[in-house]
Amino acid sequence: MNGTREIFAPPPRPLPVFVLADTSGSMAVDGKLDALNLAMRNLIASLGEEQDARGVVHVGVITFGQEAARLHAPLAPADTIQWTDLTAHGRTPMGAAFTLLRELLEDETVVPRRAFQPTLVLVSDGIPTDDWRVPLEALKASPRASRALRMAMAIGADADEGLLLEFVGGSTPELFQADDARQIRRFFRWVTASVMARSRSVNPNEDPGIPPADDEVDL
Amino acid sequence: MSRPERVDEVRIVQGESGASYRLAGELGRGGQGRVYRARGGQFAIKLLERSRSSAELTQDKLRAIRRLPLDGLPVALPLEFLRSPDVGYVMELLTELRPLAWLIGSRAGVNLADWYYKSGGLRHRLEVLAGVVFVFARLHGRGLVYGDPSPNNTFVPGPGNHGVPWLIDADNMHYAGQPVKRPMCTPRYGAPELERGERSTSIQTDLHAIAVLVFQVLTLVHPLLGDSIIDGAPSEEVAALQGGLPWVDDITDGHNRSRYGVARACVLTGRLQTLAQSTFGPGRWEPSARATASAWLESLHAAAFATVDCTACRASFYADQPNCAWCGVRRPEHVWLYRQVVEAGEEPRPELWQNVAVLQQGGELNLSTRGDALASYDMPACDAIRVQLQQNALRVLSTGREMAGRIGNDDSQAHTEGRRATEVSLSPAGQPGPYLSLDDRSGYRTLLRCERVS
Repeated sequence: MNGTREIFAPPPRPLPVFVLADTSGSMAVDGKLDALNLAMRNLIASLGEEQDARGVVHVGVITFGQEAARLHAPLAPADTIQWTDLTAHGRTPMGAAFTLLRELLEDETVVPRRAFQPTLVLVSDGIPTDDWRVPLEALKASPRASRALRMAMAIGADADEGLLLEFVGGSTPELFQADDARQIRRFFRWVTASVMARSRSVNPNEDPGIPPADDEVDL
Repeated sequence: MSRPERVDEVRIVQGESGASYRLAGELGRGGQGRVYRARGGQFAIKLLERSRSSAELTQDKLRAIRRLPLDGLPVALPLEFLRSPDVGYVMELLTELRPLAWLIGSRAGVNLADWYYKSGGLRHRLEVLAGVVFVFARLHGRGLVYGDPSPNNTFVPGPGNHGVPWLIDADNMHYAGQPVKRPMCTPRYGAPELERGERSTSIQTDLHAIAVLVFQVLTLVHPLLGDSIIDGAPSEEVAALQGGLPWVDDITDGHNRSRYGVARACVLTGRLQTLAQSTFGPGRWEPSARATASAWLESLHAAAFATVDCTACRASFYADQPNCAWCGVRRPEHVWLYRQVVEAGEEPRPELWQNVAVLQQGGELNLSTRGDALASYDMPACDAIRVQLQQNALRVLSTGREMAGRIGNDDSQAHTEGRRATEVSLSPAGQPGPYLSLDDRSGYRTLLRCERVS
């Protein structure tokens, strides 16, 4: 116990949210990237306001573009994140992103044991250009990711829907289809609502059931 | 690089009457939805998530709640439902109140000592909590169960305000002994038997939740969540909340200690610690062992009256500590105020003097002309006596009704009759001296005297 001149409250548990964002060259057209950047800002701002003594939302962003997957924003409390806009170039190394995500999830210095189960969000508009099957299987076999809430958005007609559905998994996987920038924003509102529903549920470690995607409530 | 800005959407909801309510700030949230302040009126809006079935909140259920005997109790009742597509209702709410959650700091890694003082300090917390448990004492006295006491359902006045706390979210209220199909409670505030899924909400489950609130507001620590739980996996928390581990300050079992929070002796009197021990010790498995709301009220009331303000840092602390608990400066000079209430015409009995409060120079307080704390919270203004410590005397500033004052003395039985006395001089430490005797027409005589503390 501290003295009275130093008082510390028990820390809330991290509620990790990882976003895997496609930053391949094709994202740069049709305003997709601008919409994604705006949606990310709103997501981080909304989740940063989520105040609960039990859990605090942490957000981390992995990008896959050019030749590699990169940790664009390390996992940190949403209200402390200084957002830098994503830029898009080159290929779609999604398999590398799965591997990086798995490594981060398994690293207790990144996601401590005391954290709630993470939420994993995958956003892509194209076909991976590297080997993704083995990394995805390894990811889904890792204990943290297997129990995570997984959500995915296919942007445009060229997205690999089969892969995205496999990422989401479960008996009746749901995939969000976005045909334009407006819908990208809607998807992230859905993600926000799902994370909030989770943070407020009786047991944030269990999937509270994702609210319907067409729910316009911006609670 | 820039800090993301949130573009707030203006939300307007409509009640069944057709009235529009513009949502201003968020007041609190629970598992069932959020509560917003409505702009420009004394209303709050409870908004449930639309995806939830509105069956959780049927007209019948709210009508049943409106029939409960809540007259005169500060419980915000639903006034009207919201029109579709929103699900929720409008309730009355006093605007200057804020959720009790504001007094429970949770920011990680930040020294909260300064914040503890700025958010009201010790005495404000004790007074606010006394007000809260008073509402529960009255509810329970009428055989009513609140169901879901939580830091976001309990609204309290801020520092410097002396309003009455209000409970919002009457959705889960019911008569004691009436079974509830799906008892709803806020995570971490459900009694162990609720967490174990064994029983319905009851007066005893309320008592567990309000004890958690009292302990958390004063110490900033949840009584069942020690270090091993806070540092451990989330799944381990469930066992602790079900009562499977000792509580953090258990007097016999140290397996669930907490390194967090305020040093207990600084914020909990012996009586408060005893009530916490019975509630979170044996009370985890034996609900009848939990402290009642009136027991908390007596102890919180007495604790608030046992505080002084530091002359250096101005924070309040218990006067039985030689130095300010927060800055270490020597405690100010103060006196103990003793009171006894006898029937008109009776003389004081030395064994009946009760020390009811400490007073420092210039300090003022309201005293009841009755004995117990419950009565003093219910007290009509005409039963209050306002006193102040001035120089070397206790002075009566005002009395609710006309009273005849005179000076008496335990030893001599001799009285100073004649002019109305309104002040009595202090007696030295350990020596009973003169008292002020106040007679009113209600048939009671209130006797007051002050003794210096060595």
